[in-house]
Amino acid sequence: MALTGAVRVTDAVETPAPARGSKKGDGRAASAFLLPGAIGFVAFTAFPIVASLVMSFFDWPVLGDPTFIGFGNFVELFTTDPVFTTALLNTAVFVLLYVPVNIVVSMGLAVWISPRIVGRRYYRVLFFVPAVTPMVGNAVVFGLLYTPRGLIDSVFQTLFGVSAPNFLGSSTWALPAVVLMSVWQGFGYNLLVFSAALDAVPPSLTEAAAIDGAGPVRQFFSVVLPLMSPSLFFATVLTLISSFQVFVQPYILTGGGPGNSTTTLVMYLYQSGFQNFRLGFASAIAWVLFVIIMGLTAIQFLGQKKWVHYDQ
Amino acid sequence: MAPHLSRRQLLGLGGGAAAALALSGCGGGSSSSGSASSTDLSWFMWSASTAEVDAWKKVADIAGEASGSTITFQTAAWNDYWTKLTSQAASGQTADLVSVQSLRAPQFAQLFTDLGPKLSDMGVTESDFDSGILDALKVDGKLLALPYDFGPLVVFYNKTAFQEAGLPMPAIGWTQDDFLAAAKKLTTGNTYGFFAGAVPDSIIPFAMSQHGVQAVTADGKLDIDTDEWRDTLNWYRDLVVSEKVASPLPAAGSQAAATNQFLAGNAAMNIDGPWSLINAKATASFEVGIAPMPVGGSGSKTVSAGSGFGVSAKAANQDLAAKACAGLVNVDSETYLGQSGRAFPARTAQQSAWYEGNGLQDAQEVMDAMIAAAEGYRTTAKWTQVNNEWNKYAVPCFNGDTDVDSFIQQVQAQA
Repeated sequence: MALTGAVRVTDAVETPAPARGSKKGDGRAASAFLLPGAIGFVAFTAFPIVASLVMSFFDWPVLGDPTFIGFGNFVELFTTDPVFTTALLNTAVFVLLYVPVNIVVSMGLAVWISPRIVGRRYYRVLFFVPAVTPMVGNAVVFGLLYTPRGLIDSVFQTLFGVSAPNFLGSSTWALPAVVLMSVWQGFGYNLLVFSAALDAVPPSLTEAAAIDGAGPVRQFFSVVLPLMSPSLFFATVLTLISSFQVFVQPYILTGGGPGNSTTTLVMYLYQSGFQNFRLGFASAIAWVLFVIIMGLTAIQFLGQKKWVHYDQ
Repeated sequence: MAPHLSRRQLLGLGGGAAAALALSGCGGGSSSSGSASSTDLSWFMWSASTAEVDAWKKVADIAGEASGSTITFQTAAWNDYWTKLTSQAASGQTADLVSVQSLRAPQFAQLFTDLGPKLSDMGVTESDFDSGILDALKVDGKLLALPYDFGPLVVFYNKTAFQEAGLPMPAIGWTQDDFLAAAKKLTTGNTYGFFAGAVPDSIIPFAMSQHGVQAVTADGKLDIDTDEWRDTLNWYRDLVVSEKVASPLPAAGSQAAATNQFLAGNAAMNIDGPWSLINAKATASFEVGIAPMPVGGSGSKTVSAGSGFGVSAKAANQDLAAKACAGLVNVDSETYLGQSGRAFPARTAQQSAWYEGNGLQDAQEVMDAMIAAAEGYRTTAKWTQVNNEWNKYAVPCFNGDTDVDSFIQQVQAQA
């Protein structure tokens, strides 16, 4: 198992700094090498972040002059805006459904292909294919599957003699349908991470546990899973962050509808900024989302002490 | 010492060169869209295929020759076009010539120079163009763009399905009772008589024919909270819910759904505009016909929409850009666009090129009648927003999950 950055940072601090003087001249070269990256960072990361923070305090139309309104956008978001609460709730439901299902499915499949079964390399590739195909294409295909008289509906009619629900046209089914498509799209990446972590578990430990009388289930939960916990932590953090930013799936599949039943925060951000022309309001949504993601990630990092084991 | 120094120099040089490369890389993107010489102009237009891009480049050449300028063509797909135009507008970096659809004219009004006072200098006579689309491209008396195409929303129908069902072909004077009777007869199993689209475009022609109302009043206000609209919406909703002559709506956001369902033969009738006709005829495996809106309480009425080209208020050389703009819709350009089937020309004299160049003479009677019966499709500055909400709330409403009143309330909240 790879050591984490945190451990290495501690090491670096303990290492005495190289003596100054003899290597003084490298500073200029170092800055020259850093410059391209720094320019890119300032132009494409730092500047937009600061700009969006500034914009969030303005009524900033696409055409016309911005007006400073202080916390006006944020106040509107949390008090009078009718859609924001729904979008926040939809995003929360999406995250709560998507993250656990994604982790369980990818972990389950990783465990399934982990023993020396025939063709497991091909399974890995097969399961990874959805993750590397463009999401827009996947969403369009799923749209066709979900549509009345689409494949799923036809199968329902043949097998059960009744029509399948109108998945994307029904306020009840639309969000679960979006989650299902997202899981199919997203599990391959985590599967690869888990698969690699499983391979790194020393067989001697599971063998020792087996000699001590532990069955396969006990071995998995008491030996393998704790050893995989850094990968699990990594996967959970990244999946959580990306799932809060869900946009393409509802954008292509449902346009945020029916009603607002699949309008997520980023979807609403896009609509506010690029369709309703309220760039300041959209920036405010972005910052609320940023704070939420930041907060939850911080909690995860604090919580990891309890369950993530970095020792081999 | 010497090797140490040279290593440092080498490092510095390497880093500096990389930095310079990165910088020049950044600069390249923005400078390419700017105008270098005084006769260079840029033109931003949407397109869907390379064939379309070639056609627009040819129009750019015609306009360039007519105005003594060199026009660089920039393009994006339809949906991206509006996002890109929005971000360009936000950063104040639009092309010199900008294309706009009449429905979005109020939304982008501030982006454009008023062409009205320049028309005589541009050599343009207003009466050469269809007056409806010219009006639709005016916002608060400002002429934002010169139209290149337009068309009334009409009924597209599956001729083959009508023949097989033994139904008379819908012709001028057919009524909404005829429409409903045909739709019922054409609905069998998985095939429906009509596709009830969730977009305003599919419903406004019916509201016009039944009550003579549009979604936006003559003084520019969104108003569907009326008895007339309630009646039309309930009638339309019943096509899905109680008459069951239209399929339940699959999803919001699928603007192309109606066209696709029609072209796939799953729905025998659909509301669409002449801009789709040539593609529909080429794609469908059956014969496609167009019919006027069925006669309702207010007659056979519809709305027409179209697109045009305007001059950006930010264009450096306003006079040259205006001349080039006139060139994009001059007689040669419009004849070419009409003949090649790219557009139903907004120049009335060139419309024959569209019929003759594409073997569409049989559509002329219906087109003439509907152009005469059409009002310009009125929108508001927040039309994209209205259109989105309409689309999202029409799905549960027309599927019978919510009622018309809640739909009206949601859409009207965007006023």
